[in-house]
Amino acid sequence: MGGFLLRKAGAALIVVVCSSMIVFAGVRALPGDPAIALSGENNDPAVIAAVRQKYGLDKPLPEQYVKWIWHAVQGDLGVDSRDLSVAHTIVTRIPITLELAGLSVLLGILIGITSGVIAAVRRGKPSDHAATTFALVGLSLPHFWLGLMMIILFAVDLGWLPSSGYVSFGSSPVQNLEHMVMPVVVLGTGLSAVLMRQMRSSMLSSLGADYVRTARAKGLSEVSVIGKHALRNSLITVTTVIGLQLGALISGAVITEQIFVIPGFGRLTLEAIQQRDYTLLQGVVLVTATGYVVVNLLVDVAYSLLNPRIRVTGSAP
Amino acid sequence: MSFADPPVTVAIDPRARRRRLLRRRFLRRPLAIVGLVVATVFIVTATLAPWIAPYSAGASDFNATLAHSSAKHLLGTDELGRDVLSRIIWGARASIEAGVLATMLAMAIAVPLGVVAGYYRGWLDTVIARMTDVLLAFPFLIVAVGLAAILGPSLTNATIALGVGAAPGLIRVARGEALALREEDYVRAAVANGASDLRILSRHVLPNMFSTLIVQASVAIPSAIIGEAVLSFLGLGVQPPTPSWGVMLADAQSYLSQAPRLAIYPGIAIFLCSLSFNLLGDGLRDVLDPRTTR
Repeated sequence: MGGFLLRKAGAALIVVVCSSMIVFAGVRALPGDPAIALSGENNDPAVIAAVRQKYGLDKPLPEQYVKWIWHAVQGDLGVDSRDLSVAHTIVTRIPITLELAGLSVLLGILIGITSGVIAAVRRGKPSDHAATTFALVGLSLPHFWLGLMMIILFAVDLGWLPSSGYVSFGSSPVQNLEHMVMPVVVLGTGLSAVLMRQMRSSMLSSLGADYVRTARAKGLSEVSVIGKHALRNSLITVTTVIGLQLGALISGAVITEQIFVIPGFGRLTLEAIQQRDYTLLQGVVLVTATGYVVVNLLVDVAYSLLNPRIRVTGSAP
Repeated sequence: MSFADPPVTVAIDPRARRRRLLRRRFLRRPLAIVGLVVATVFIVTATLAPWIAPYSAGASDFNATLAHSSAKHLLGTDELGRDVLSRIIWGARASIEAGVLATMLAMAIAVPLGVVAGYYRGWLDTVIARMTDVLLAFPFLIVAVGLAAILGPSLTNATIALGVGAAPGLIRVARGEALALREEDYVRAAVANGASDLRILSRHVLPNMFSTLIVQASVAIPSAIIGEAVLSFLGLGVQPPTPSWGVMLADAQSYLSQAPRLAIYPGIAIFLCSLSFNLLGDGLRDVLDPRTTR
């Protein structure tokens, strides 16, 4: 087990290092001189040279990279064009997106797993068809459009919910949730469609497995057969899917925050691009890539704890 | 392979028989047929847009801005008096182009890498697997945002971003297939016969993973179609005034209370288009790959 974890963590570390190099090189490939962008209105060559020196842009690229990573490891991602700490900006924006993403994952799991289990248990019955159709529609629907439709219906026509904005949970829990309802539905239903399909197919194979037949033969109740045996084993596969869906979730958060004007991490990413803020962009993308790798490492660990076979063969499928 | 004696000819060519069997299986699935028909309609519409659309995409009628639907403008007009139906027809071009080309690009990246990784295994496999992990760590929207910033926003760059974004998943699929196929008896027989790697890959491995790839492609197309709409909506794809469903939705955002229909129609077009490809993909999966029947 220790060796397995060590190998997984090593691979994750390599991925993070490679990603950081891509981020660094990618940001350097952007058109325009960052020193000119950072010095703003001032075109004085002396000022530009000073800026270049201040941000270390006059050093060779490998040295800049090592310096950037060295500071990043210590939690310092530099300062953006407004002289604000990038790490601080990210830390203030992330909780908003975590709330959005967390609630969406909860909703997605709730709808996806429930409907997937029902569809598999009642295979071929109307409830199966309803759930499968729901998943197909969910996969084909552009979710940002669903967001626009919800704004038209619930905010413009009915006036039940605020159309955009964000109120922190601390200042008003009720308003916070009111603002979160539509974004969470938009982001969560997309995830639920994927999870439902995965859950249904892995439940179907679990229900056909020998151990389920044995459990039934032992005379266990249907609830216990499905809940304790089939469901538990299907959940293992679904755990991995949730980890892999994280990328889609991040992309989804960017557009959802854009539509509902939520000042989270996703909007920060778009702002960094629009304002050509190199340090900010670099930091934001590095955090995204690292977050993705760490979550998937945790998923791998959870997977190996749930499924001992993986530890023996040493590689997750 | 050549033999001294010509092989005994079977009464029916086995390939033709397989094709007929697959066609019969496909025709038994009404939803898949609906998908095929609707997808074809979208492709034909996109191709023939200049002849089908009642107006050109940019033609504005300033006497009829934000007009309701009428005989003159079936789906009404937008804030510049442009015919919505015509713009939806023209917009199909960007969606279909992005959907098909992005998927082809993803395949072109993923199949060689996946096959090499799965067939040769060893250190190549490890390197490619790590590369895939690195690619996966960048959500497609972040890749697209970055590309748009470096190369400038355009349909081509959006398509590249969508293709690169879809590649990692396909690499995994292709690798898995190659991994399974290399253990097949006919591949071992070819190895024993002294066939070169290139020959084995092109004659035995690739043709046998073709049906899986077709199914994957038909699933990748609808997500690329939605992806194009997302990118154009954010201003990272098709640039106005060129019509695209995503651009139309972005424009409609300012008129949600005045003219909600401007936001409704393009969305329905995206939905129907991606639904049709999804239905087709599900049908093909059932027909070509019965093992994974959901």
